[in-house]
Amino acid sequence: MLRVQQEDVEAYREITRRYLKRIYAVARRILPHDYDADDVVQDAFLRVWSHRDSWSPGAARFTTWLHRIVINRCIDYRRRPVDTSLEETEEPADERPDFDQAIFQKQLHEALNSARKRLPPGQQVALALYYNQGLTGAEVGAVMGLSQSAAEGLLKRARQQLRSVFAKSAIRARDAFDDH
Amino acid sequence: MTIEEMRLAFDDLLCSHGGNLRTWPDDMRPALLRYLRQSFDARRRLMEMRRMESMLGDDLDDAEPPVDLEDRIMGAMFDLMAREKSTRAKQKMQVDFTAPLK
Repeated sequence: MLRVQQEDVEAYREITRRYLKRIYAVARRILPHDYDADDVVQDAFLRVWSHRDSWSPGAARFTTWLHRIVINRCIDYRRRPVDTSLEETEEPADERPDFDQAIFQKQLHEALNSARKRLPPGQQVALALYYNQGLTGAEVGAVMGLSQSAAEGLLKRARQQLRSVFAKSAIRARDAFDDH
Repeated sequence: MTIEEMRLAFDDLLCSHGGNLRTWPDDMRPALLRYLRQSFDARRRLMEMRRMESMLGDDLDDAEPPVDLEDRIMGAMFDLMAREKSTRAKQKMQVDFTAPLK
């Protein structure tokens, strides 16, 4: 990053290449569509360039700083006005009556994903950083600009809500499976 | 602690720390492990949490950025760099115009 601050294009390319997949996965987890993640990730990496002078080695680890940029962009993106009728259009359901174990798992997965998307943005971000990026509670806090206990509080509330949905969905899916 | 209190404490810890028992507070762990050994329902809830966490963790592992995204980022960065240089050049010219004549 020090080289990027000297306008070293190759250093910037190296950073982009090294973190692109990881940062894309975070954005994809928080945003509903691939194309949303594309826009936000591109914008976040541009901010790395345009705000290069605001990063200092003593203030935050580069990865923390980068995560913070992308997460703020994701939250801004979600707040933008959208055509909700289009956003809420769902894929047509697969109606094949095949309740085998894979379908049972898929139903659970879908129920969990759907519930996850309905959580408040802060909880979604905390989950993405903790479960998909492998950050600790303290690191989640650092990225989100929160204390460790506040970050862990977000994770706790998210688990409480998802767990309830997960348990109900498991029962429903199992019943459907058994009926068949 | 009554059975009901133990159940609530167990649930609270389960949601606070997830299903990995090694991350649970040391001082609470022995009593809760005893409870876990005694209660089928507690074991079921623990397994359910682990299963849910596993799904939360593996869902988008295969999310790959589009192949051209890196090129698009670099292209946009070059545009930005050109604009920065142009702005700096304009600022320099303004400074030159206002500088006192020697």
